[in-house]
Amino acid sequence: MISSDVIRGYNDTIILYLLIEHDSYGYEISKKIREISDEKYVIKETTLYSAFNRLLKNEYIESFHKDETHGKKRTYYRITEKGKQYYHDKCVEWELTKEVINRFVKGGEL
Amino acid sequence: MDAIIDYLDNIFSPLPKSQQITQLKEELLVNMEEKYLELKQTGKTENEAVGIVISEFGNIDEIIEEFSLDFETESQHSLPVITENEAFSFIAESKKSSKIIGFCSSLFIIGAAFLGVILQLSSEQLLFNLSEGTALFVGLTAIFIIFITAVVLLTLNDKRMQRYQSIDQGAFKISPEAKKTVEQSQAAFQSTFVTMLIIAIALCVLSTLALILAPTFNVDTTIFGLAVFLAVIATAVFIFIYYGGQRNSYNKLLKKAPSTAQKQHKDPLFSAVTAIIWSLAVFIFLIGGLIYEQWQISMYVFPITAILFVAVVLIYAGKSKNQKRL
Repeated sequence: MISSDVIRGYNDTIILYLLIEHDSYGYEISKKIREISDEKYVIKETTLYSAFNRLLKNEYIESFHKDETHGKKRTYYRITEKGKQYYHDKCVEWELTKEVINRFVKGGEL
Repeated sequence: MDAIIDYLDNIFSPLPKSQQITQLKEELLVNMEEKYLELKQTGKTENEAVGIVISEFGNIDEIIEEFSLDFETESQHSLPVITENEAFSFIAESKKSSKIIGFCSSLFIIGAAFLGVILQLSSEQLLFNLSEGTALFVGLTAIFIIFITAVVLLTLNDKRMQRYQSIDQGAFKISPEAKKTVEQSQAAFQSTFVTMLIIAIALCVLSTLALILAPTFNVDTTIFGLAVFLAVIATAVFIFIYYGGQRNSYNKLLKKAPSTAQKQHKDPLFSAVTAIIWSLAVFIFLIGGLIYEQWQISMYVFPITAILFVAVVLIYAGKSKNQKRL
């Protein structure tokens, strides 16, 4: 299980990846993250919604409401152009980070 | 499920009960409920499902950290959040307020014009044989009435706008959805604003024509030219204030600090003061000309006022710059 400290800088990236595919809402996103990571990363509710708030404030995503069958109002999220750009920048950043850290990482043996 | 609701209530109890936080709690509940139901469907027991949902909830400190950034200000109290409804009622009320201020300012200018016209008409014996003295009295009374009316209107208006003090001072937060709709509304207003601005400027230019052309007919028609000039200026002033005030309200909501030049031209109070100063100048000009028949000397009122006015503008600009720095 990945610790949330390590993954902290990339929660936004992970969420945006899913929103690029299609608009989605809270629970669906956390489910997808669990599935795609093979249960290796289970995002916490608090982490997820803090990320939504951050992404909204930075205008990387926008929210809208859809009425569900049980009469509940669900908040859906949609990625913006600015968000797509930010996602791209983060991907580039990750490639660089990966390359640099790898230079200091021995393959698991000491 | 009740256990989950209780858990959430518990966790959220130390947090401030703002609209934002309450909305967040609702969303988290919807989320957790869906998770709980799915877990039950996959065969988990009540206890297992609740346990898993709660254990995967996370740390409330993350929420506090993320959302307390929204509350960060110089003051100790959390800032009020403006909803979409509040934003639009502010815009509507500001519109009304600008209308009143614009109206009062124009009224002053028209009052000065009225005085001039009355005096001229009486001196030409065109007005029911009224003596110049009586005419002066009537004119002054009119101006006095206008003054009282304006003071009452402006005071009431100020009282009405008091509740928006926090918006005036910028001590508020606006929700992203409200911000978006306000921005859309502003974009729609922009074209109207530019059009009206052009019309008002054109009016100012045209009005000077009246002033220049009038003496060419007859020395006496100078006054009527002046009256027309003032009437047109009064209209232009109203347009500046009415539309400038509306633009101001959008800028305030979206926290766009206007440039100093803009601030001066669009600030309703400043425009009102401008109108008063120039009306006074005209008034003095008329008194000098009609009572003392010294037009050529009283003409100097205008350049002197212009210089004083520029000085006032500079002081005002300097003061507002200092205020901003604080």
